[in-house]
Amino acid sequence: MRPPATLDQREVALGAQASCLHRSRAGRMPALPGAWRAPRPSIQNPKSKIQNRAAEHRLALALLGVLAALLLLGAVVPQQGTTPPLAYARWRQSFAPVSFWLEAAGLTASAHAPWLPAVAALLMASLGRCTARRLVALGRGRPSLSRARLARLGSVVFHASLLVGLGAVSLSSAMRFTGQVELAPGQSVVDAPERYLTTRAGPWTPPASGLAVRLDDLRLEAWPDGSLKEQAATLSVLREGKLLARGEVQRSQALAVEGLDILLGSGAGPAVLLAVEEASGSRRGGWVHFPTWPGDGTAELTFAVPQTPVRLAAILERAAPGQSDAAVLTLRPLGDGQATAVQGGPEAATSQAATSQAAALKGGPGAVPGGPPFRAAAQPGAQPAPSSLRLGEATTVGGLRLRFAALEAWTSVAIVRDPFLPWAFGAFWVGLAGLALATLLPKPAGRRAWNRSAGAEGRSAGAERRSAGACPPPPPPEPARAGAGDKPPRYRAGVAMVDSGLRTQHSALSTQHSGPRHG
Amino acid sequence: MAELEVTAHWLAVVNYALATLVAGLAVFLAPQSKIQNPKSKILSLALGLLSLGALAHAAALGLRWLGTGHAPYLGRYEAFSSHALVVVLLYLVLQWRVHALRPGSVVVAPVAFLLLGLALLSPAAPTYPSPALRSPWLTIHVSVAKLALAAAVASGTASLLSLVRSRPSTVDSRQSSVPTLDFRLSTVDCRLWTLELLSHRLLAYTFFLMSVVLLSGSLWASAAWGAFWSWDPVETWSLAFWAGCAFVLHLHLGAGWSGPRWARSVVVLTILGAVTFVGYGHFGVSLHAAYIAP
Repeated sequence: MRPPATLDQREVALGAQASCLHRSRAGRMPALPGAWRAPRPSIQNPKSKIQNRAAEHRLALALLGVLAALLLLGAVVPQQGTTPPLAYARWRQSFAPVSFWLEAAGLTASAHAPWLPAVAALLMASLGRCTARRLVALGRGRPSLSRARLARLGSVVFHASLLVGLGAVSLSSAMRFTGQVELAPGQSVVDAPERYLTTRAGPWTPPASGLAVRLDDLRLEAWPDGSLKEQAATLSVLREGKLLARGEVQRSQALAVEGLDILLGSGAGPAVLLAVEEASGSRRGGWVHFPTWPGDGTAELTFAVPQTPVRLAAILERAAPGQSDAAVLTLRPLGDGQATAVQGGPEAATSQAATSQAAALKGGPGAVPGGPPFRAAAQPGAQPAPSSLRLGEATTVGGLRLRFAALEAWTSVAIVRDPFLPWAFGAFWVGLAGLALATLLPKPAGRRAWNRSAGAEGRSAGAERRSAGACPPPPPPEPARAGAGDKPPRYRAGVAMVDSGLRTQHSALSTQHSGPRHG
Repeated sequence: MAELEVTAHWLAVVNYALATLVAGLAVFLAPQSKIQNPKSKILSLALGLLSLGALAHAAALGLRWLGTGHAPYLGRYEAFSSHALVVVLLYLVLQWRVHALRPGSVVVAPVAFLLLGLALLSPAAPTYPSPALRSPWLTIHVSVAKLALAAAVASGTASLLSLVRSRPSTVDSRQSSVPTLDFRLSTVDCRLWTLELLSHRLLAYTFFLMSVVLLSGSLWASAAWGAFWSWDPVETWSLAFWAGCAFVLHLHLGAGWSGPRWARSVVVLTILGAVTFVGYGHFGVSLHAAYIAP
């Protein structure tokens, strides 16, 4: 049934038509009685029935509610990835029966639990179907730039962008690769999985680029309490030795080159260049990366000199940024089995030239580059026989002459390949613009509409042409009417937020009024 | 300068405490007819005290900013204090435009008092910002997050007021029983509707602001941490709050929830928002804690 051609009801009808949420409950509770109602979609075949179910607001609401509740649980319950292992083990033991069930339900690893993609996929299906309906409904109306229409357009854009953004995030999670490495000035790394210290990769990682990233310069500054104030590096990106790009990277500002995002990690500390001279006369050297900055002597690092049986424990003291002359390196030989060398790292054949250049820049005679950063886990029970070295001094351990050749800083560098991240952020920006249109656009205040109750059905009795504006003053007391026993028609005075973009059809704040209708 | 800052902070605390007291007396003890009146003197007194407190509070944070050289957002002391100021300022602006929100000082004043109390109980030593905080996204992320909290508190306040006003004892029986022949809503209904509409709009703004917070945070984390999402507890709480906002807004728009049911759901959501901003990030194990709760 088409509505009468009055401006008010046509607008009401348009508002209702644009909302798939309204349409899904049509038939159960008429949104604004008397207004034109879209015919219910056909549910003749199972496919369209499933499609209609997917677009129901009840399903979307239930999924949103489930998602919010599960996320809340995931935020309250300690998570395996983010909670420190000891704290997690303690919690697991303290809440033994409950923690078992929570683990089984995947709530202790929400990010990797199967329920998260399942709920997200259902929500996306519901969102997609609903957005398509809204889009079709919006296209049916007469084109105009009224604020209400723009708000509806913004809402559709937001929902569509959310859909695209969530899809891009899913693809990004599947194809993202992150490699992390520690570099001192002059060192470089080639973008290949085996060259990184740590990696994180999705199931469908794109192939490695083969580009080399070289740290040319590193600038670290410290606050008076020793914490880092400034962390910036100059990086060069090379392909087969040819310079592709060069730029400065700060702690929160990445360098993007040919699909690679190169950024600085939170790790930074002092790096000691140790020159090694064997009894045979061969020379080599490598960086020893100390994990904390400044080198305050509280952290002991153990390492093995590659291709030799020599194992050492090292402590670095007074190694603040820019004060390498005051630094003291204490080396203590360890017995067999007291330390295990960790191989790997950024050094590779392709980086030899760069490392040579860095060593040459230090100018120390006999400083020979090569070898990975010597990192190892500390082991207890060492035999103390320490040698304290200042910059340029040397000592002999196990037939090797070890010289404290240079003190520099190292920083962790992360290289990220993620082809779908720009899509995700682009979609979310567009969505944000749509949401701004839907929520921030000034809209006229709502108008009121009156419905007359007639049994189970109701009819629209009228609507204001303009907003009522400010609240009216309290009405004066009214004398008792004659014929109080009669039952006049009942009017339900509600607030129809017509044209306000909110599309709430009538408010439950409405009160029952009896009496004749005026005006 | 530090002493002046502490004095101004304590002045703000005293004013907020007095505003809480006066607003409580006004709302719970004074006759409802007086509270309905936008020009009620007792409410004006509470609002005046709240404004004085906000002035002293702003001065304290300004001095702090001058002293540390960075905006007051680092550490519990600065974070809670600036949270409280933004909540109070947004409320003062809103009640100036919407008189029905004036009794809301009974909610906002104690919230500000508690937040500032938490701030003053936290270590006040200046915290040095890490290099990761040197990002233009920081300004957007942090300032919009504070605004989102303030909008959520204002929305919850409007809903709480509509809940209190919709109680039978607070509705003038004469107004509700006598039919209004000119079909205008009664004063009580109209104010309830105003509060509900305001609470809906503020919640929609909160949703928008939370979207900005999540997006700017993701962009920032992508450049600083190498991952746009880390399932950090603060991130998870924020996402849950965002999803909760969407859920409650859809309850209003689609499922027809309104009146006390809607108001109750908004109040619950506001509590969730308060936990998101004040709870885990400051007292739990979180990547954000390294920046905001040293």
